[in-house]
Amino acid sequence: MKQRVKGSFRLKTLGLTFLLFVSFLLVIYFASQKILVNSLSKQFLVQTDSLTELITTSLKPNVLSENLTAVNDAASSILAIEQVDYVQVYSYEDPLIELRSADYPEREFREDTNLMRARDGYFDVVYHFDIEGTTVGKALLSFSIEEERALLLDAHHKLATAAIVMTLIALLVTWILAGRIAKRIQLLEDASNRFAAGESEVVLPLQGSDEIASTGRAFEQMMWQIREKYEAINLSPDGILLVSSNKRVTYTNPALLNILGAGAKGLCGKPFSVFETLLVSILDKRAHADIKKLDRLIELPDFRVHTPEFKILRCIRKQVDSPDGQTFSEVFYLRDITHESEIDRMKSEFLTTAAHELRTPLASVMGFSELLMMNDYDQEKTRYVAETINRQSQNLKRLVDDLLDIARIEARSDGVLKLEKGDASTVVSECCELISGGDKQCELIYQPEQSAWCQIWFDANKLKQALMNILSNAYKYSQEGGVVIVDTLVQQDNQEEADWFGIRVTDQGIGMSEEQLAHVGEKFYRADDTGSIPGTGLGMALTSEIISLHNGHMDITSQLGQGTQVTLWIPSADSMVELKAHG
Amino acid sequence: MADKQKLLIVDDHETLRELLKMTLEFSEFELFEASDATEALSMVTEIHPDVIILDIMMPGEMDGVEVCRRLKANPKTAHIKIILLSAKGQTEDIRLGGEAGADAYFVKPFSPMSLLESIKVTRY
Repeated sequence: MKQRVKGSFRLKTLGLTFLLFVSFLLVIYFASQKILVNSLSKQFLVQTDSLTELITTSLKPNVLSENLTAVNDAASSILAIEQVDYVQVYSYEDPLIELRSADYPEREFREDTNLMRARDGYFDVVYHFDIEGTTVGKALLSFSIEEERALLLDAHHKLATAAIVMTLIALLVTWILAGRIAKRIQLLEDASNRFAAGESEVVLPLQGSDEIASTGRAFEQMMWQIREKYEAINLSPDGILLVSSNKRVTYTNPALLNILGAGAKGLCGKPFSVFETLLVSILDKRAHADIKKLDRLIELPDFRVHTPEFKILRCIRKQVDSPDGQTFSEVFYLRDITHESEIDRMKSEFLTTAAHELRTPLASVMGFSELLMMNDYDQEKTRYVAETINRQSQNLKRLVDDLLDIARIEARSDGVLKLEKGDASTVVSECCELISGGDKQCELIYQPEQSAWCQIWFDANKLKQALMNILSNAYKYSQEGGVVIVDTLVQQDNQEEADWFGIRVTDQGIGMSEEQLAHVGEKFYRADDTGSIPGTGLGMALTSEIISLHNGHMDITSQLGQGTQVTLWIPSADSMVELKAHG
Repeated sequence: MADKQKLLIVDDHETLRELLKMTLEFSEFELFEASDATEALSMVTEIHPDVIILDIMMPGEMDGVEVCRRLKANPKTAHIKIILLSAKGQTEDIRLGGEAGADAYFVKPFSPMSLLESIKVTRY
């Protein structure tokens, strides 16, 4: 938005210079004119004075004696004087004689007092012959003052020309100087306008050491600080939206677009009502059916939206008054608290569930031990009860161990994996030996020489724990005589240019339905919840955490009654980017 | 012993059922057991128990509170004494049990002797 203001600095300076110069020159002009005229007049009058003497000594007595010949002689001698072009002598009011030079024109005689007034080039003077206060005659003389006038006119012209030229030069210099200053001020104005409009590269008047340059530097400093804050706002995970006093959205940070989803694109520059409509339109209809206005929304501590992704948001509005206090702009702060709320919910749910899960084996331990105390059972029954108590205590212990493991891994308190590089074949072999050493009626098939291997970064103990969980699940859910197959494979992921190492465990057990499959990895979820198969419901959650610590992932396929296949994928060492645990 | 009272134990955990059976083994009840809500409801119509010890959290769509509510809503079965037994021990859970019409509420872990006392007291 560029507009030249009427009272611009340049025009003001120019006008002022013009006025000052013109008045200054006028004074000089008139003063010098006057000095010139005065000096010329003085010179002229001195000349005239010498003439006066001549007139009073030779002309006046002859006029009184009315000696015409003498008068004529005197007049002729006066006319002979330089510059005198016309002589007329009167006795009282009667003209006695009139003499004129050859080039004296026919003109009216008019007594002059000021040299400059004699515009026709002749200066007329009257000499009176007085005797005791009575005028007895007079002489009219006309002087040619062409020369003086020419001198004066010339001076007049020269002065005028000098005045005009000087004024013009002064104006030009002022115009250029003021222009240069105005241009630099304009640069500042443009810079602030552009910066306000969001441009980051602006030109500032920084050259020199004058006030404008230092203003420019101060402005640059301010811009830098604003940019720092701007970057901070841009980096903020919380959404920020600015609304100008004329109710338009002037700024949205990237986080706001992330939070509000695709609908928020292009919000900048739109009227504020578009933002309001958008926010109201994505509100969870069930939770906030009655809310149609943003004002109502702001009052809530948090609200639910679908962007279409479900989110819980918190919105804060801050009003910023304009300098004159008449209007205000607004800052909207939008925070996505879905995760916090979700984590809170999950934590309390986890605690509740964990407490419940501990209660069941505890009920057996407490109940059976009380029975033992209160009743006199025979040896066989006593043994049975003691065994049950022991079994349930072991269940409790496992549960507590798993809970602690999960808590540790989730808190990453021992999250730094003790990583080693290798093909993990020892881990797989050890786990297979360990699991097949039990008294289960399952057959384990593992042929390391037929498996594919590659170098991976891994924590032997953690990986063993993960694999043991998978293997014991495979055993637990297999019928007698079932077969559990363990093999490893290397797969190339073209998209990520990474090699993946997989440990695959296949069983022919009871398998899982799609619904059950969806819950795998949830804490305390158990495909078989009858208590006939021991377990804590934490194994898969734990395994999944361990594998994700290795930057890997877990694949599970299963069919009810057909068996389950679990593959633990870990990225190969060469393709491996930095492990989280390294950092 | 035709007038021997019948008691139905409903719990999905085998060990818990075993514990309850041993607790009640010297009482004057004829014991029956079921491992989920559906089985429990069909047993009720079959054997007409006098007392039911009912676990709340069980696999399947119906939980113990729902079973209790149904039995108490049906005039034919409303007289059955129902003792809810659950790992859920929060006030809210106990209130829900009471609303469903349960005669007693035991939180796991429980003392078998207190349970036995409670059954003796509530017995008619």
